[in-house]
Amino acid sequence: MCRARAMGTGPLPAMLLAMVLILGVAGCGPGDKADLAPTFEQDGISDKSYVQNLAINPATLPEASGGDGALAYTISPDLPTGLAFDAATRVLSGTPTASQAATVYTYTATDSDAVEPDSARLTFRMTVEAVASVSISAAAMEVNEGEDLEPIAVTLTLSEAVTGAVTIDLASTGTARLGSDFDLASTEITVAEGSTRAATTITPIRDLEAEGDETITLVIDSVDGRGEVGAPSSVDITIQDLGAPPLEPKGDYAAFEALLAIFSFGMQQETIEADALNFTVLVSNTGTATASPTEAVLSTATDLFSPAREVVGSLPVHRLPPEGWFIGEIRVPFSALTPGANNFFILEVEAVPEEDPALVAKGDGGAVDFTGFFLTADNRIRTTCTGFARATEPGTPDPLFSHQWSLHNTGQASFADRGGAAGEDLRMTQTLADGLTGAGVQVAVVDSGLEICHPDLAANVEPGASYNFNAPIWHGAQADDPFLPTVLGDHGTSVAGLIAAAANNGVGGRGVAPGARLRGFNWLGAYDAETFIFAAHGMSAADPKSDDVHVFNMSYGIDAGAENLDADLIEMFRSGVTDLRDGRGALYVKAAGNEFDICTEVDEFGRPVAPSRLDLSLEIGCVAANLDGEHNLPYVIAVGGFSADGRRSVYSSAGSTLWVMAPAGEDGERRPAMITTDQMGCAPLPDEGLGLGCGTDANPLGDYTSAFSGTSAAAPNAAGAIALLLETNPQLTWRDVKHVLAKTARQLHPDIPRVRVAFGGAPAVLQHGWITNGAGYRFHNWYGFGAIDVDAALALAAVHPPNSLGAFIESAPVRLATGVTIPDHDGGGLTQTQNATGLPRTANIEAVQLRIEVTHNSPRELGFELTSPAGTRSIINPVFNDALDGVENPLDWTVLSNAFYGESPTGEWTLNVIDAAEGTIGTLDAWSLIFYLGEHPEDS
Amino acid sequence: MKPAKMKVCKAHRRWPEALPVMLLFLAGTHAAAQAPGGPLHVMRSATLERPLLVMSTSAAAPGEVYVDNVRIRVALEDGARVYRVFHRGVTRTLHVALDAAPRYVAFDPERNRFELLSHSLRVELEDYGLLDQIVAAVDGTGGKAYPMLGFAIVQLPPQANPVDAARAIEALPGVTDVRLRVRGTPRVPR
Repeated sequence: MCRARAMGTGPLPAMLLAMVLILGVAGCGPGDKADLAPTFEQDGISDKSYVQNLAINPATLPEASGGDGALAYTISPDLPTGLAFDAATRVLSGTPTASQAATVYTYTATDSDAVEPDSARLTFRMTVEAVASVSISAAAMEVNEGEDLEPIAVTLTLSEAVTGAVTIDLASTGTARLGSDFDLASTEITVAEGSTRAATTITPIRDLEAEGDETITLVIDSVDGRGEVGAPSSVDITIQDLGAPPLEPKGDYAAFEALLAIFSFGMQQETIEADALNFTVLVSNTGTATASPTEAVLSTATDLFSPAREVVGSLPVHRLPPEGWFIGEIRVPFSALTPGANNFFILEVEAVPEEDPALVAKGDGGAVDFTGFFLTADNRIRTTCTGFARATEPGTPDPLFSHQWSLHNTGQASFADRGGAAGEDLRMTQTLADGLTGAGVQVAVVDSGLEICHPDLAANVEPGASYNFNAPIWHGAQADDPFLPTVLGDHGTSVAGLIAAAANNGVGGRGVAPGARLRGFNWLGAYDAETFIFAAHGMSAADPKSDDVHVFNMSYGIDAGAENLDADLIEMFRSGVTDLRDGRGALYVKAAGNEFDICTEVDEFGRPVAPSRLDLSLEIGCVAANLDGEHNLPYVIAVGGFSADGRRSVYSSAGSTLWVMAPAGEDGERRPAMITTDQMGCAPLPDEGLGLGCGTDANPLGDYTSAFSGTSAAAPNAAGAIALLLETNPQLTWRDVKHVLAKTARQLHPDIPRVRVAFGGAPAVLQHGWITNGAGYRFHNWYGFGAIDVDAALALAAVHPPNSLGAFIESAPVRLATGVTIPDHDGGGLTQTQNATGLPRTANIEAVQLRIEVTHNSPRELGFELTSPAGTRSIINPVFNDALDGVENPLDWTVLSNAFYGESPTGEWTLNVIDAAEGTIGTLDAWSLIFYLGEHPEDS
Repeated sequence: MKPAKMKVCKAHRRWPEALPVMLLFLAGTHAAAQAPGGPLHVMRSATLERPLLVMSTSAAAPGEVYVDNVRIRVALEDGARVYRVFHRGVTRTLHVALDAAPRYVAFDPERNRFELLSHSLRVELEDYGLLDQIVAAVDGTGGKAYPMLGFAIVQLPPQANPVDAARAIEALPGVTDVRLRVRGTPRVPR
């Protein structure tokens, strides 16, 4: 009868012993009164597995049969806390409140035989699985909306590891709104089996609104799995508001603005006569209030900064209403000046509003305009690069070379307070070792002038090829000598030195391409620049000869008011890349602009002109590089500047029009600028030569400076690099050169975060981090494709098959006329799509132009983002771009993006237009795309 | 350090497309009897269909004239010749010192503002070998052909009347088009 499992040894050994004795005496034979024992029908009881704190389904344990008398049921050992066994009903029930590892229980039925109780037993395992309590915490309890935009970690912690995954749902309450004030990376967080932690992140979203501090309360809403809500079950995070404009709001300004009269004025040395200077003075009222009559006063001094000045002329400026002009001339005979000395001229004009004379503003370019000339002892103004005695020592190292961080950055200070980061340069170590110089490459410096007799430039100046457009109006000037007669520094001479200052001549430093051939066109200072623009940019066979130029350096730009180029200029650049260099195309290399950190946030009186966005200005820039019409053409290479620490120079304009970056530096005082040639001699200016000084051991004759910066410096560094490329492979086309530069550019600032701000509660990305487009090119609006890597570019140029990028195609415009209202103050904006079809199947994008037609009274509030069929997103115009300050309404503007380089144009293009400010409602009237295409099998 | 420059205007200054000349010498016809007397010309762009009013800063006598919907009043005030242009409810004013060299300034009615003119004309020719003759015909200071671009530039003396010169050139054989050029936004070193 002893069923193996049902017969246990019993809990009571003494009783068992007695039972055995009785059985042994009485035996079991027939005729005896049987001592019956209970039995279970089942072989066993299934194991029980319960969950802590979860009521179990009541389980009725098996009933035994047989035995003598009533049966009593017991379970041992003790049940888990919270569970109970009802012996009468044999029901196991309750809610386990503590976890328990698997434990073997014995379920016993015992009969009521007074003499010899018998038992039947079943065993089973019972487990109570743990349930963890889940708590929540955050890495920070306060976050600054404007600055602390790194995600905040929110951690969910289990009190202990449990079986299976635990899934936690979060809910948010509080005054901050999910999706407009902050982002939660996930509202459902899973803690993996065996783990006790999982995290999500909260990212505040900036806005420009004065909302006061806001709170985020994150609550554990529910828990699935072996977990339950613990404590703390919620966490509070405060978003400290920085959206409040620190200055007065725009509404107050409007009334104030009506009282302003702002003069824009300037003088031009229209003519240098044999015995006099003749200045033209133009004053225009660009304000909104009528200006009282005033006076333009021209004074002179031999020390620019001396208060002792002598008035040499004045003009009564009449009452000028807004947009009013005054034109006059002041002739200054040399007899009124000091011979054998520098003579400076200071023009001052006060703008006094009629209605409120207290609001006196001076010219928006500064209180004064000034210039200066050296008057020789025999009363002449030098207009040619003659009379300077300078010696060189060919074969002797350049003494300033070791300071030129742009060529070889070792972290040297370069005459500034501190240096940058080693290696953040043009990456041309191998090139320098190989002795490449850009030999034979013709580079034109289209600028303010060129000192063709400068000791570090003269050897590289192409004889007779430079041109002085002002020769007819400057007494004594020569047509082939673009000498700048002023003594305030010659921008063009500094630009030229970066390109091709001679190497190993014992003086100064060297250029990137010290064997390139230079010529200077002083087009920027030409008395009627529009007349000569074509001649200065490659369209002229003589006077000046510019059609044999390979690289045009254009370190110039406009300083306000985005504009489209007129058709003749577009055709000029198109012709230049099509016809010059025997059809391989000239390279037009242009400075991207220095307006990144120049915001029209306040006027001359410190009053605001717009809702504050100062916190944004250091991220998306004040004026985008699309300000210049040239940058919005595929024919021009827009070059931004970087510092010795490998980051964008603080002023370098950003945007989708950028191609590459080149060294440009910072102020030269605290952080290195560029070391380059300077107008010969020591100008009496406080920053002359800056750290390098003037008349010092390092700069004894004042022919160099360590303070040249701006994207004016980036462009010639790029132009020099391009000269090296053309030396390496003269057959490269202009497109090949662009391709090689993009392909080999190196990434700067790789971890730069995106910029996102909510407008009207809807977040908008104002600047992406580095993107990788559909063809594998990395791009960022601060950096274009990245910094020029000369060694890598030359290596690719040496093997790149010239003219291998297919035919250059300009597509017909793909246009969508819409006339749809742009949602006001809405980061979500207006999104439209249109398909580009019918384009060559194998085409690759080289550039995309967006023509945007908008009716809006304040277009600077608008941002445009274009998304390609490959999903590449390009902010083609950032919001609050001061390039659009004051432009006409309706806006009809063509801008360009290089971010899609190499992608296929075919498919759906998406335009998103956002209006970032409240109060002005406009419409998107139409938008068009023009594709500039090639065929790049390697990019497809 | 920036060189001395002529900063014209803070406001947006987009070029009009080069302007083909369709000269209506209004001041020289019926308008002349009404007042300014001096040169005043309307120049209309074939492409933009936009007239520009071109005025001499030195020759106009005091008076008033209407050109289309634009009223122009010339006065001599405090040593200056003053042009007041009344258009679309606002007045634009140009003061030019009487002793300043002669020059020509344009008024753009569409933008309702003044524009500086370049001292040059854009000329399309059937044969660019004719350029020297054309320059000589208008006492130009020079000329340069840009066959790749399809036009030539004829330089004029600063005091020359560009409208008169344009009319003269347009009348010459072999000339297919003549346009004024307006000075654009100045480019400055950066």
